[in-house]
Parts: sequence; structure tokens; C-alpha cells
Amino acid sequence: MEGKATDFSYLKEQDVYSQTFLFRVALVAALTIPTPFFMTQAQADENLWGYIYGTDTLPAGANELYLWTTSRNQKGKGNYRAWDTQLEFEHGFTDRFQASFYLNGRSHQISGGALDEDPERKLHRGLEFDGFNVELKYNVLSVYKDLFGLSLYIEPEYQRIDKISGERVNGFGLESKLILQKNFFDDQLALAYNLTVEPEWKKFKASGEREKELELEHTVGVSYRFLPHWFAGIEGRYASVYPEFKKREGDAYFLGPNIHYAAERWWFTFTFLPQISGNPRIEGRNSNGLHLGEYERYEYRFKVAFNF
Amino acid sequence: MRTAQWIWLPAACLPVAAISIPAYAATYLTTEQAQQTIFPGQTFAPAFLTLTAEQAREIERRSDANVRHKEIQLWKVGNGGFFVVDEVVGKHEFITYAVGLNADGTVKQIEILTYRESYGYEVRNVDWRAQFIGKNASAPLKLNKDIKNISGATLSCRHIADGVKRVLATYEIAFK
Repeated sequence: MEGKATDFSYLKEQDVYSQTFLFRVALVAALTIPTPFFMTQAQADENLWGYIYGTDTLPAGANELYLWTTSRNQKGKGNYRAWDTQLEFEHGFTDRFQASFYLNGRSHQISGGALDEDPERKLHRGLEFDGFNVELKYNVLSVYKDLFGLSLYIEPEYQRIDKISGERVNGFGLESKLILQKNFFDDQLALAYNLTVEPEWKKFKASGEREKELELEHTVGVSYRFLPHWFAGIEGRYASVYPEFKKREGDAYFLGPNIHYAAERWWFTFTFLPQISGNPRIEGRNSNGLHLGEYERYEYRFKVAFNF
Repeated sequence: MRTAQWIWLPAACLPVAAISIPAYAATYLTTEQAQQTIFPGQTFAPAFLTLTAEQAREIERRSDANVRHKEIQLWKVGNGGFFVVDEVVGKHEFITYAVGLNADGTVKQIEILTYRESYGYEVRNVDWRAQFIGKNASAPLKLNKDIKNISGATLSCRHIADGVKRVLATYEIAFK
């Protein structure tokens, strides 16, 4: 199986290296092309939270370009650091329907027996092209007009790198969300809930092993505008995984703060989301009541977006 | 480039964005300009007032809108009308607007003075603002009832409609 020793495959595989280069070029180009060239009186579908979606959609004709980076750290043993990077282009087709296209990148630093299922695994791989997603979101009820906001979301995904081990895979996922939002105090306080269901199928390239699983998440967030342009909030996340779509293998609870700033044409959101409880605990590592197999001890997510 | 450097790439974009993106905040009218736009050629006498707690509660009950400020920027107009400068919550900042009332308490005209949001500029459109003309305190002033919504600017539309409703209730409670 790939990665039993230090993995230099990314230096050897010309195709992968080329894709990585192109991915980086796309990132840099997207971020350095001066957005004022495109600017019109556009609108923002800003994310008040890092992990939770609100019910707003982009208005017809509006565009948004995002860059996400998520850092996932520590398995209670050895060294484990992973980064998930997403470059997203979003377009509003109607005032209620938007679609996005994501290019995904991923990197891993794994050593010291960090993975319980593969303690010998060592991997030091920089940012590589991981795959792409297409996101479709439809707003059913407006949080500003109706009793509460309701949106439906579906996101097919193609994946090339396993999220936990960094092994090369051919993976497909279909993430769907039910998004609810209720605002209070002249819309300065927002409360949102997401139910996320995602079946995934993947085949590990090195071993040929096939795997399928269902991920189920409940996420809740609250965000308050404490100053003009500035929002502070708390995000909670319950995540669980069902291998072979059968019995639940593990679950974890996360809870952490976030900060969001929105200017007229851009915004950012930063969330720190540590795991606070999880099951099952893995013997022989510093778990402290956490599930550090499927999930990590700490997650950080930073999003920045530009409207045009 | 090493991974550790890439993770800070988004953060590095922030100052670039801050510098490269022009400000769209706009003050469209001063108070004096709004006065002359709504009541051309009239005189204006400041009549600022502070609502009592009881008045504020009654205004909130009648209008179903929060009274954020008990200090009311009110001018009495030479023809018997009233001119009020008020603000409502926008998505990121406050929206400042003016309401001109006829002597009988109906809306003569509204004007947007300052709008600092990234979207929803359509609330300045003459046709949208014209929907308020002639409304009094008994009007619902609800989106998709007697006030048409502007898709994509729903928050601004609703908050301005709520604000005008509150001004009309304030007229009934405190101006007469």
C-alpha cells in the first residue's frame, strides 16, 4: 500500500506534478487578478460561519469567488497535519438558485504512528489537486420575508486524495443539506441549522480496495453583529460515519468560536473548531475523550471571498 | 512552495483586497438637500424630541418594529408637514433615510440619504419609493402585501418599510 515509507510520489509522477502546478496557478490567478476590473453593483452571499451554511443565495447575475483553507491537526499520537484548500466560483442564476464550481487541493504531513489503521504510514506531501465539486443551492423560504429561511443544497464531488490517510483514491460523494435559518433583532442575530447527509464511494488506487460510507452531520451556529461589518459567533458540529452504510463506526462533537468581517465587496470568516467529545476512543494514544480516528483534535477554517 | 506557506495564502489576500477594492459607500443627500427635495421652498423648524419609555413601547406595539433610538430628528415644515431623519439596520451598516409627512400624517415622500451596503441599491429607485406615498399609520407596510419586494434586496426593503411604519406610528404617538 502506498505510503508505508516516506512518500515522494508527488515528485515522481509528472502528471500529478503538472496538475498541482496548474492548481496553484489557478489559485494565484484567481487571487491576484484585480477584482475591480469586474466590479458592478453586485451582491454578497456571505458566509457568517465557517462550517454552517445560511439560507441566502446570490441574486441573479451576481458572482462570488471564494478561497477556503481548512487545517486539521493532531491524532493524539505522532504528527498529523492536513490542509484542505478549495477555490470556489459561485454564480446566481436566479434570485433563488445558485451554482458553484470548486477546485480542491489537499496536503498532508503524517508520521510517528499518527494513523491507528496504518501506524507505519509516513507522508509529507505538499498541496496537490484533489478533485472538484459542483454545488447547487435553492432558496425555498426567505429568512427576511418568511417565518424562517429554508434552502436545499446538493453537491456531487469527485475526490483523488483520501481525506484522512492522504492515499490516492478514485472517490465520489453526493453531499446534500437541509438548511434552516432564523434571524432576530432586526437581522443582527442569526441562528442556523444544517442537516448534512453524504454517501461516499471510493477505491484506493494502490490496494484496489473499495470502500463506501455514509457521513451524517448536524451543525448549529449563532452569529451576532456586534459592530458594523463585524460578526462573532459560535459553531457546533456533530459528525458521524457509517461504513458500508450500516452501523455507526464513530462520531464526534465539535464546538468553537468564529469571527466574520464583511466589507462592501469582500468578506472573510475564521473558525476555530476543536473536538470536544467523541467515540470510540483509541487505546494507546492521548485521546482525552475524543475520537481521533475519523476526526482530528483541532480544526481551523479560513474563508475569503470577493464579489463581482 | 511548502504547505505551511499555502495555508496563509487567503490571509495574505486580505490587504490586497482592502487596497484594490474601491469603496462604494455613498451619501446621496444631505439633510438639507432631502428637505428641499421633499418640501421644495418650505421652511423647517427643528423640533427634536425624546420619546418616553412608554411612548417607545406603544410605538413598537403599533408598528411591530424596534425603536432603536428614542431621540427623534424631527423638523416641522412651514406648510404644516413633518420631516424626519431616521436610520434602519442594513446588512453591514445603517441605512439613513428621510420621511416627509403631510399635515394629515400621510407619507409625502421618502428619500435615501446614505446607503453603505454592497447590494440593494435598488431601494433608491423612484418607483419603489413611490409605493410609500399616501400611506398612513394604518397601512400594513408589509413586503408582498402593500409594498413590493425587490429580489436580492429583501433585507433593505423590509427594514426600510419597517422604519417608515415606525415613523408613522411615532407621528400618531408623539407628533400630533
